[in-house]
Amino acid sequence: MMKFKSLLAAAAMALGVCGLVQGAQAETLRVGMECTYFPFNYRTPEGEMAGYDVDVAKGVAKIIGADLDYVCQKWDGMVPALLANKFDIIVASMSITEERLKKMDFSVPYRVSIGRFLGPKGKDLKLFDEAGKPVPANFDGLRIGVERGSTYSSWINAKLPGATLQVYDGNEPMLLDLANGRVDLAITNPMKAYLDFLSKPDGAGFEFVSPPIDEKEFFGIGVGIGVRKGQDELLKRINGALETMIKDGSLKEYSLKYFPFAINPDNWQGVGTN
Amino acid sequence: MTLDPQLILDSLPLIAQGLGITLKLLFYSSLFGIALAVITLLMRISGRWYLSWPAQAYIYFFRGTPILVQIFIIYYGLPQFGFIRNSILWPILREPFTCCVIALGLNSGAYVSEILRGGVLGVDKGLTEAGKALGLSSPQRFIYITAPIAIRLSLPAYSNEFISTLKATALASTVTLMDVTGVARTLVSQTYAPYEIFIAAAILYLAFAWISYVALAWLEARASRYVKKGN
Amino acid sequence: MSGTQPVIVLDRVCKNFGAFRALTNVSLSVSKGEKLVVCGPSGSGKSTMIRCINRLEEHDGGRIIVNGHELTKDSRNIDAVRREVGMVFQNFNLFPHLTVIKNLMLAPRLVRHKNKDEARAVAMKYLERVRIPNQADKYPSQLSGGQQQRVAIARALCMNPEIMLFDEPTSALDPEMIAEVLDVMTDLAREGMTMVCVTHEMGFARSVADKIVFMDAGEIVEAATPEAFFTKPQTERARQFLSQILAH
Repeated sequence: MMKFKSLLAAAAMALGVCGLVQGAQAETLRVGMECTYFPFNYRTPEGEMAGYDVDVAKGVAKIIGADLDYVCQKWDGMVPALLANKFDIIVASMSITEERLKKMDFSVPYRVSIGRFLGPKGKDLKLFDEAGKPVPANFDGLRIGVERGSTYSSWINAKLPGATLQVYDGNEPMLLDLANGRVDLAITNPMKAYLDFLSKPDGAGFEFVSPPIDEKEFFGIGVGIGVRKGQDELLKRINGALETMIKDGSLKEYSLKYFPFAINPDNWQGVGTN
Repeated sequence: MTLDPQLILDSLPLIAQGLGITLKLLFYSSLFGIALAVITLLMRISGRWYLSWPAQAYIYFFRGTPILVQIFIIYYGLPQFGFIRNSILWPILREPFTCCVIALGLNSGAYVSEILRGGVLGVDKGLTEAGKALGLSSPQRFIYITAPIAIRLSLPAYSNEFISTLKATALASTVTLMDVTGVARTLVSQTYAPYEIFIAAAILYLAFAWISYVALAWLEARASRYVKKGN
Repeated sequence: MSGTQPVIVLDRVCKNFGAFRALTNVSLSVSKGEKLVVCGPSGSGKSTMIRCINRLEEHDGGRIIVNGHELTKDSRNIDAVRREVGMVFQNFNLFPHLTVIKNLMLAPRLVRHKNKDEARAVAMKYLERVRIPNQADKYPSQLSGGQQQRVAIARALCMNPEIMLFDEPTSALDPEMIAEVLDVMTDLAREGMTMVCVTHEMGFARSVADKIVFMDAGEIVEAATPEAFFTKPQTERARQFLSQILAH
């Protein structure tokens, strides 16, 4: 079994490695990603690497003047492979967590963790004020679908005591019940909501009914580029590149390629907010 | 993996918040189940094929499929039809609670119907004949002679079925209900301590199952007080 | 005591259970107040015949007329016959979940629409007749077999029947209890009740019966007065039966 797995890995690597041929002197950054996680890192039918993660990796590489080598790696072996020096950085939609920070370092987030409410189109429920803050009174008596144990349910419990939570074991049944009218609203990751629901016929009558809710104490910091500990110089250059890309709007441009809304941090908050 | 007994104790009162829904589910679905069981029993013993066949098909279907599948069909399956969402049934089928009561009740009804049929078949034919000879009508014989005796004969098997229904209510947590299991699963997803929390949930189920056993055993003893001891 | 008016008429009655011919052309008439004892070896059709009289068995051929009602598929006639005919079974068939008094009150309340007090008064009257008024609040399982059968007789009497059918009423009893049941039946006979009894109790038959019918293989072989039947049986089958039963 082990042999078979390593064979697979070797095959994957052989396929995945497509070095960009530039100046012979250029530094080469080996990037670990799954290569199958649409629309973040995946292969187009033509065999090209594409996706938001890929765009970010390319952007960083361009700014720091490095070439990219893509290394396709299964998710459960991602961190061990980084630590074993199979590649230099992870750009694989990996969330920055306490647990992971014990083993590795992360750049500033290049994608934020946000939640957004979905609801039927055209109902002006006045759930949020001008400043994007929720108006708890207008949630009273509304049934809101959430995933069991998700950060969204903690947020609602803390902010919207008058709402009734209906707890689901997955996004799909929750969105199905939203479509069927069993819940008035659902809160979830807007990217999933867009990909699985709003962009499909089932979701035709629905839309986002809230601004992106981005509260780090509930939803976490976001997704960053992972590097091995002790690579402070590399990390500094990557953070510098991300700063440039946040400020010049490149990240926003990348995110709008895949989603009709931004998934990037919209302003530079400096290094060390992790 | 070490077990934290304190966490079990601490989570008991939290999980007990789900007891209300668990018991309400049990109560209403058992009641609905008994009603269905009596109706289908009468259909089966009516001796008319057009009543007996649908009853048998119902029993066959609900005894032959998992309750979870039945819950999913009712909860997720039925709303797929627009006419159901637009019908007067929708306010009932919209609620996860009533969907579960319907599914559990339909399931329990199929089993209880068979249990009651066993009870009816166990009633001495001579008693029915005595009723006939006294001029009692067929409904009178059923109500005053067959039914009371059949119920007593059915009680031991019914007691098992009741406990089965109690345990089956746990499936309600799959369709958003915060019963004992729903609360426990939510706690697990927040604390990552499945052992302690599910053990606490198991303690609650066991305690209520025990109460049910005792209550039904008492009922059985009461219903059997006319039966000669050691006979 | 026998009158002239026939209250039970069987005319060439046939009954089959599948291929088995339980009754073949049984004809019989019982007058008002007459006491008829039916005897014969087991499997001879006695029970089937008596059960046809109140339609516990449905006859396949011939006619049965009871108290002027012909037994057909018409349930009104069946109900009328059952209201007027009481029956006592070999196995008592008391309702085990009801106390003695409630066993007696059930049919008068449901069928005769008597109120509770009336039904109770009637029940107590008949419990006294069968000499067990003190057992009124016991369950059948708490009584001896003889007591249970007396309760069963009282239960039938509470409906104030014109005819009583007894289907081997003492066959399930321990010997020491047979007498108490036969005493009650004898009392009843003296009061003029029309009775049809399937029984092997030849002493009872001799002292009470107006007529004895001997059956074998689904047919009536002999019908005679007790005197004639016991002293001069006409057929070899009856002689054989009597010699067997009296030898015990």
